[in-house]
Amino acid sequence: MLYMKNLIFQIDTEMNINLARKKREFVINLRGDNYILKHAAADFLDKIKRHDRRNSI
Amino acid sequence: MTEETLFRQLLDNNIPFILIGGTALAAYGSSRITIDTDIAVKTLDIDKIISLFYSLNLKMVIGVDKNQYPLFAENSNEAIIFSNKSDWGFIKFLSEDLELDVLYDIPLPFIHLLKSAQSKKVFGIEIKTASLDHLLIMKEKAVQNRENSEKKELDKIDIAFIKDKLKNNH
Repeated sequence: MLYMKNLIFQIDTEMNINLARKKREFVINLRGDNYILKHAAADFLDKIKRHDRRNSI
Repeated sequence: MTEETLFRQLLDNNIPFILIGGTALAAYGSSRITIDTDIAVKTLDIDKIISLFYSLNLKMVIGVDKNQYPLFAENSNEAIIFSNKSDWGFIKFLSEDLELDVLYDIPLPFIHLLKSAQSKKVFGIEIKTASLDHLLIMKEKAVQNRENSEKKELDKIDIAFIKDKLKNNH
């Protein structure tokens, strides 16, 4: 029973990870060629701001 | 370039890493869309990681231009010099179709993260994934320092997901 539970949990994990990738690919295709570049730039700036805020407290 | 290739290369080069962020949450069943993949690493491994990723044709982001596009270090030496000067606690790598964040300034000591990490099969590879308790600590810290309201909302969704999972696990 425990083996079955673990097996089902493992299959769930793999399916969800693969689904997450499909969703990412869908969004990137939907938003166009430069989306990943723009996302990376925006996220880069957001992370720096978070770092600065953390260090200013 | 795929996550599998990067994960395998890190494992083959004995560079310990832990999956965190949205992809880690997907491994626990979250349905939220995530664009980038986040991993936590030891600070001492940063130079090695930069050299490895440049050999795989990834590029490290070092700034943003006036059109809001990323600027990259041209080669691994430039990237290493830049990362040694920066105190941001993360480095961001990009290939044509993959965005990977490597975090080394995290709210928890790496060793604690590693000790509580769970092994999960991610893209066919057994990967150390941060525990739900630790993912919660990191998300709660992130939401405190976030200005971007859209991302703040996503953090709140993630926190609710983790708390729900933890409640069901106990």
